[in-house]
Amino acid sequence: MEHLLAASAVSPAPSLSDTGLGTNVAVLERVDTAVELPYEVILWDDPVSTMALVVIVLKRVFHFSTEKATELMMIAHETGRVVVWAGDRAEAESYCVQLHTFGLSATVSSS
Amino acid sequence: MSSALPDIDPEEDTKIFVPLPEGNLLVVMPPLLRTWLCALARALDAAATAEQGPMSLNLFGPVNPELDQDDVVVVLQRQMAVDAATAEVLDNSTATEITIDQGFDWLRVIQLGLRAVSGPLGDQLILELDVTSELLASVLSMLSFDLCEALSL
Repeated sequence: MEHLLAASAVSPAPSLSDTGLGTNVAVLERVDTAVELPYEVILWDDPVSTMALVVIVLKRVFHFSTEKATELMMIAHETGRVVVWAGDRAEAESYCVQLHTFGLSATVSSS
Repeated sequence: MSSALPDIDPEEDTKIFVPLPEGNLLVVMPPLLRTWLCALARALDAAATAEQGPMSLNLFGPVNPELDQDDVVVVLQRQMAVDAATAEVLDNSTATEITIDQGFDWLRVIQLGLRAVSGPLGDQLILELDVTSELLASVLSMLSFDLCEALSL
């Protein structure tokens, strides 16, 4: 799983006069960080797409083996949905768009 | 623009895309069907690049279902992908042999056309292509199935 640095807020450095310490003062910056949870690409079962189409598109987009693509396709077919990839948001959205352009139903959600 | 669908029986076992030993695909497509596919590509391209076109959300659905609309990056990515696929079909509409990469672009156009039939683009496509929705869906399904089979090998 990949994690993203979602936010980075740097507090303004105090001026030297504010510190009252004169020159040669190392000013420490406070950095607030938050870890963003991974995003999942969810493939939804739909009545239009054939099984063969789903398999070759999963292989094409994610470079899955035929076995893995077939397994994921079957899970989507039987349960209605399957998580096909998880990671950072931008990549997840990019993968989702690729699935869309092959006519597949896919969404991105944070896990 | 109007391009009547050529006389093709979707039930007939006609191979349009034939895998070649060296990896490419042979395209055995009647000229009228090629013309029709080009018209479909142009219609999809126009819809994808329209500012408030119905293709943006109604055809694809939002990437994040909790939001009303996708952000500009997603919209741009989608437009570029559709544009590249339709350009590929239009640029090579007379080709008798295509690569696997080109085959996937053709598959995109066919699949998006298929999806558009039942969506808000359906009426527009049917009007432009001068066919009934049932026939349009049948021919596109046949093309998609045939191309998938060829790409699977």
